[in-house]
Amino acid sequence: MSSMLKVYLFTLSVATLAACSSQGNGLHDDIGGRSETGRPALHAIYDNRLRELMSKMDVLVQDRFMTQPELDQERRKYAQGLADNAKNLQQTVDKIIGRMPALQLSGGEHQAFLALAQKLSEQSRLLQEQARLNHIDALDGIVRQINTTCISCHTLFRKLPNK
Amino acid sequence: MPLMAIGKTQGIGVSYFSCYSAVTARRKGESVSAKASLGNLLLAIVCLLFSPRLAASDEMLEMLKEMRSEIRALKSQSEQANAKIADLERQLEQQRRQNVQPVPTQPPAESKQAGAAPPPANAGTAGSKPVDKAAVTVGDVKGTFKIPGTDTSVGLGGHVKVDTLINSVSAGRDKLGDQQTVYSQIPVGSAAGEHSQISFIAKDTRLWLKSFTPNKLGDINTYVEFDFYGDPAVSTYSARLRHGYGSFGNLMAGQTWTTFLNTSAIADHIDTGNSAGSVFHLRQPMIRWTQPFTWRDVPMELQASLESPRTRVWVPGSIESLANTSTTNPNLDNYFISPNAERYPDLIARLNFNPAWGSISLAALGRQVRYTNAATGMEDGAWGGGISLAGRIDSVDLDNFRFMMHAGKGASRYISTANTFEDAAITADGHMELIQTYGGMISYQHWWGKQWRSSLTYGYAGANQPQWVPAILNRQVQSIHANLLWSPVSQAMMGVEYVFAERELLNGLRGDLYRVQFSMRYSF
Repeated sequence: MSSMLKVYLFTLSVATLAACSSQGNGLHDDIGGRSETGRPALHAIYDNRLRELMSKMDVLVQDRFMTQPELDQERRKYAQGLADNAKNLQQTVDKIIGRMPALQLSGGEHQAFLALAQKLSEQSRLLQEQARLNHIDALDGIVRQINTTCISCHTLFRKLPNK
Repeated sequence: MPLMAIGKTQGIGVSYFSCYSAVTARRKGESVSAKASLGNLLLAIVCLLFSPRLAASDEMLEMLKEMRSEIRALKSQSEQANAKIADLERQLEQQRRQNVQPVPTQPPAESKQAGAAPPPANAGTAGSKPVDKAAVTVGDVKGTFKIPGTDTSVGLGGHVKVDTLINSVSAGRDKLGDQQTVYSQIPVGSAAGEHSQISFIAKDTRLWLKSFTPNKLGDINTYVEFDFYGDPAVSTYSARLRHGYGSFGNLMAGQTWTTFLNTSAIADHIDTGNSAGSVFHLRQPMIRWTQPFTWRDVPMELQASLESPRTRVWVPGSIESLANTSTTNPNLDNYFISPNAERYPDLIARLNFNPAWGSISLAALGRQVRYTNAATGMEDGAWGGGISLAGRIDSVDLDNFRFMMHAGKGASRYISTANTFEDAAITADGHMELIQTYGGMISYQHWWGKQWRSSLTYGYAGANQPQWVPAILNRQVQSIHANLLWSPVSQAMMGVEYVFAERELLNGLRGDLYRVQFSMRYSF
């Protein structure tokens, strides 16, 4: 085996071990136990789609071939997708609020659930607005806030299946 | 004040003065509270009621007139204050919604003056406020700011990139092939260059400038980008224009990637030369129209362009001799002539299919390949062309496949890297024969996480050369690229890449290149 190949394989092995052991592999983290709760609800699907679009937008900065105006066009395309999904999410959350009587929550639970649902609805509306205005830098923060709201609600109200 | 003069000589006048002073004590001030003014008003009324000799005096009428005007002034002041409060509340609400952009603190009437020339030096009189300068605000696209007083957003950026290349064999003294993969410069045979050669370069450092101006007829974009590959010598850094173009709506003019190349399908490699089977990373002057449309709710685009022509032909020495060339030495990379005799631009059309899961394009090229020789009066030309199917398909998470497939005749300039194959060859009697080429590449990019990614690519390109051309010309080239790239933050990238590249001549001889490349890139 040539010395060149040996050098490369050694470097590659060390780097691969570092890659596989690194923390913060956000794409595969099991956040909030969502994957343990069975079939995902519609609002969870839209939330996943939001995070997927944000990830694709984030990696655009690594592209070395598209020109900056082309990258701006791609960001605008993803922002439009975020706006559309945020709208779907807001509509889904509004439906959830409409079905609250069926949940038969206690007084305190009712207030907490309503507050979280309204918060999620407002954050979705804000995401729509920022995406339509092409305020790219503001989008990541709002998506993270949406994720936090989802985790909060799931922590309080989602029942996990018995193992 | 006339009442003051009267009040000084008479006790009653003093009371008049007191009343009047109480009413007008703060009259000249800007900020008179409504409550204090009302108190003064009541006091004045009391003074009027209980001071003798007021009922019929001219002074009382005078005072009433002044009080009336005072009340009018207070009303106007109150309305202005309420309007100001309402405006501030609107701005606060807007600021809450935006959550990003700074809210202009000037009322709308004054903001129009902000971008104008500064007022003359004698414009400010005692008591007048200086004109505030407009704040620089965030632009309409990422990474830009607005030029004050205009709708134009401007951005500046680039990256610094350092490459360390360890080559199994050198392409030769001050050859570009030691700085990026140039398939025509892979050494072949015993005359190959230095073994285990190392190069350090920073030529892939780039600087760009962009602008965006919204317009109801079509947005106006401009873009200029440079790197430092202007000279092939390893230690010579010359700025080179990579992109320089402007667009007005769908019409673009300037230098940028050829329309024949789908940039979203380019494999993610730190080797600037990239894969053997790729469409050539060619940037050239052009005029291009892009027409977006949808088909079954899928965004699509049709692009048509006129691009700079450039013929590259092999000519026998009996017709035209080229300096520093050979028909027996395969390592000179100087076998083709560019006669600059084209009469038509290259015509390219591309259909882009942009579903949510990726990007697919089909491109077609038509071009005139023409050779003339003023000395001999020889002249011949032919129309050639090619097609290319390329794209990027998302798989799981951020992973994706990228591919390119192409075939053509007289389209070699658009294939692989520079000078790999010729567009045409000239026979001894001056007849032109177009060269048929074909090739492709397949790449898979895998994201280990948000910071780590790898790409593995195989590429191949070949040509059907006529038998009467020199046997040292290329029959085929192929390559394998594999890398591991790390971006701890979005603005930094470090990586290592392995390259295997090979070219085979018509006579069967082969030259292999093995390379390990380390790169570090910092963006701004």
